[in-house]
Amino acid sequence: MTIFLQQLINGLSVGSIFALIALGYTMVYGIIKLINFAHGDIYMLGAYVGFFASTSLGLGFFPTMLLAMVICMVAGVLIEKIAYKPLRHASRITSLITAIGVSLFLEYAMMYFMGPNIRTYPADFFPREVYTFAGLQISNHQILIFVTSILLMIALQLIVKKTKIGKAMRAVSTDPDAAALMGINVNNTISFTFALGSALAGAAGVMIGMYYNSIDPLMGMIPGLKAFIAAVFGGIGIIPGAMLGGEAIGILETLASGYGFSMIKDAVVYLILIVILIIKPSGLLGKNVKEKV
Amino acid sequence: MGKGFKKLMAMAAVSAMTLTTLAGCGSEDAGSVGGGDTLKWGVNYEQSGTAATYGTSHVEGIKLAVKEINAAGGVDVGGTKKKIELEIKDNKTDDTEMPQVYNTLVEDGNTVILGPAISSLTKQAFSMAEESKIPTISASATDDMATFKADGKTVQSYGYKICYSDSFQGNAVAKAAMDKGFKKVIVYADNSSDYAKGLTKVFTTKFKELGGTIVGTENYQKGDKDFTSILTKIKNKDFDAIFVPGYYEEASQIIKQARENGIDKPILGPDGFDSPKLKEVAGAKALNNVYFTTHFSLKENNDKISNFLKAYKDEYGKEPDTFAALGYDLAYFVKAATEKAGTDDPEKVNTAIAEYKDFTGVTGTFSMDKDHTPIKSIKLVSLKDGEQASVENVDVTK
Amino acid sequence: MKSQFTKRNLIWTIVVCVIFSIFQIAISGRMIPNTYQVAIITIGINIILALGLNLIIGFTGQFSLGHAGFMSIGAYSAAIVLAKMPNLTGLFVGMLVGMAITAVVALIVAIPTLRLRGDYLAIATLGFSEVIRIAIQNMEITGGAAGLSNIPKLTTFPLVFVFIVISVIVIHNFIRSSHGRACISVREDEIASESMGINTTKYKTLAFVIGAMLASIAGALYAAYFYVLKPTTFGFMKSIDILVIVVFGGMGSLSGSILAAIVLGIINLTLQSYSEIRMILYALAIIVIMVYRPQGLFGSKEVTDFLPKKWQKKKEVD
Repeated sequence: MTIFLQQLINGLSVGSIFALIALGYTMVYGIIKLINFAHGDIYMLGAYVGFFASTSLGLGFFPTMLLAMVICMVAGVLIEKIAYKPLRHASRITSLITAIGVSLFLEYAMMYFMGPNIRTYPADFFPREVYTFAGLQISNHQILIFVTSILLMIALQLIVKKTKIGKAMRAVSTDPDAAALMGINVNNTISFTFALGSALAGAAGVMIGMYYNSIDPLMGMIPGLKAFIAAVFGGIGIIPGAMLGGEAIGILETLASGYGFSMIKDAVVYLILIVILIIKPSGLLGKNVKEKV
Repeated sequence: MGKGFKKLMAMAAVSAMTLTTLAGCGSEDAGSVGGGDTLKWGVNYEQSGTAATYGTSHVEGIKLAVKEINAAGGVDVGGTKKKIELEIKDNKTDDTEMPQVYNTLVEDGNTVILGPAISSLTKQAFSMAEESKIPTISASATDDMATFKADGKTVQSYGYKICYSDSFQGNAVAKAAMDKGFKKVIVYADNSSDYAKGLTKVFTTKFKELGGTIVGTENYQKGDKDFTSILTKIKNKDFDAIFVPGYYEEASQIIKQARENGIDKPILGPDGFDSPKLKEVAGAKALNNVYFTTHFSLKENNDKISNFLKAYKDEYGKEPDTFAALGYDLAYFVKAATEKAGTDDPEKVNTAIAEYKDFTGVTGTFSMDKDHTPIKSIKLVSLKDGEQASVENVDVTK
Repeated sequence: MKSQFTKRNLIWTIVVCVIFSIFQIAISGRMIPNTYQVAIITIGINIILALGLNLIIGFTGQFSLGHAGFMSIGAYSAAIVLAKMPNLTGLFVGMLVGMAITAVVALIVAIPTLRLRGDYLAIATLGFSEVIRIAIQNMEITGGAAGLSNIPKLTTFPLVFVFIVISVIVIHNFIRSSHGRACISVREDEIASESMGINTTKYKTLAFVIGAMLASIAGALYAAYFYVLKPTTFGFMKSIDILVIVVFGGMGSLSGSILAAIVLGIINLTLQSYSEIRMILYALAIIVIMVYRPQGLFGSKEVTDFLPKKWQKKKEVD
């Protein structure tokens, strides 16, 4: 039982990272129905900014995370303006392919400038301490990741539910044309959405850099994909869904690994996707919306 | 209408083409290479992609060796001293790119090809060497079957390696573990690489043969970052040591996370551990009670190694790792074989390589055996606080 | 019944034979260095892959990102059979085995995924492709992570060329048939198509399976040329490579796919030493093309549409 609980704790940390990234996917999909393939690479960008900030600038944890969030915000907004805005009325396939292009661009540009090999965060970036209780181990890193993710999610929910811009986001997701007619600046709302999502991904990147201590240009690909699957699992477009989905995928993956299926743990996640798309495509927390002709 | 008639037409066209093909068939003959004022050697290594650190280290070793050789006048080819001209290419650790690189090197008239580093690309290169008839040597392809053709018994005519094989290495780790009194071992292996799977198999067999017990076998995949779930699982089991066959990228994380999770027991590994990245990622504190087999250690005291260390430090400003040492030896080995052949004609050099006995380099002394694999000793290095604390030869025969 | 020995078909046959002969003579006459030969074969294999994917994405509008998975099934089937029968017959047997397995797997993939919308379909097919790759990585018979090596080199330019011709003929005829028109109607407006009585599921599946089988053939040719197979070769990036070719050429244009494969293959060859820059340029090109010319080189036209009117085929009246 202790092992199961320990695996749960481990899974929650990984899951929180997935959740942070999934939030970005779900918000962007909710508002412009685009799978932002490049989102995983924003996460990678955050990790590298953190690397640069902590090694060359010698900044501590919180300033580094802040810097990464800001830079990722800018990057996200720029990408939206340059690559996605022109295609807002194009077919989904076209936008998806463009997103793939942006993703490849970020990956290979980073590889060109920073080299393909792994980089490491400084050892004293956030000194690790382990707490034991009831036979279980939990590190301050894990607590930090979990708590930060929860706080960010709460902040996000507050923004979406209680602020004017949040209302604008919800309006544009429901019906962009009607929203525009009501006087909402759709372009700014979309940019804001991208900014929020990218900031979260950037924060996740820094925390992962701290947790695993190694980063590389392709680190965003698989976690990005899994985070997207998590968003779908929880209900795409629904913010609590992304958090739920992220944690669920993290825990399921960790358990699969822990109970002897580590070779196929990635496959387990993909299979979850396929199953949920067949049974309930709107996700765990989603509502079934029939397509009207 | 129907596809039938159109297909009939296509078939008629195809037959016409087949005739042209058969008419045009000619055998490819190896162009004449060699005999110029310089010795042309091709260098085919992974300088980007997943095996980049191994490849770049090799290349650094090769370049240093060639610099030294050329400074001393060059290689004695049948009485005339010729300098070496290197053509260095990056195969990007990609099996679709490597053939292009290899072909380019062959077409540019290189008489020997050095590399690749990893076993899968090496097997590919050796298959191509059959056609190109240019001796191709890898310094680090430890796969047992690397130098063999499809039937597993016939040896590749132009492919060689100058490092020991994985079965040899797996046996050595098993022996070393027993010698150190680790009777119960957990194997935590990389399931996504042939290197690791081969090592696991050999280690498990030999270890049991020597009387040891394998308490458990776990797996990870290349690219994994989180090992805590498995480490948690095995933590409370009864074992003396963990064997981690795999490469440094994941191994460094495993060691780090093991220590973080309170596992202080010894961790054993193969030459994949041998990289400065191990210390960079795991941190010096975690690297205690870590042992690995390798080809070369600076802790070994002899003149050849001290000279190599000094020259390497002067040239690159850092200490050489095992793969740089292998590259260095590879270049000197090709020099020795060429001198023995007395010519740079690829066929004669090929024979000289196949028959070479008692070459001494920084990675030890060896002779080429009938399987185009060297008979060589293997070293076990121990780490203390992130640095190499000791090195010993592992004698597998006793 | 109309005779197939029309002037138009004869002209095409002659054109094809001429193109073939030029290349074949150049190759056997050893006028083309090995590096270019590798490029030619690679381009040829990519053409077959692109044609198959174009059928699925371009003509039927199903956005599949799982093409690499089917290629790998064909490649491994061929390699495994070749280990027992290392000759041309072995290759053909391997191809047939590969096609059979691919067809079954494609059906299994199609059933749950083809009911999904565009972007979800993409991710689902990607997921399936990865599952195939992980499965291959964990099986003994495929050599697991090590893959297979020492595969006999049997693929030659004539062989690749023949299969390209066959692929073109098969797809071209399929598109011009009633099945093909059904597929196109699915692409244009699936709901309208369904309400006109077309069994959209059947045609989507049909196109998907045919495209997959072509990928399988390409995979077999690949295996018999590159000596080794590793599961990592057939990952997500490979699917993207083929997607880029189809997009560049124009989704819905066969000649576009062929031309794009050739052009991109040549670019790859010239930029070989600068691989990271190449990928960056590639990525930028994707973005630029999608924003400014999403229909690619040819849109949904064929190269024959640019010939003077009197050379073009008169439209049949059914």
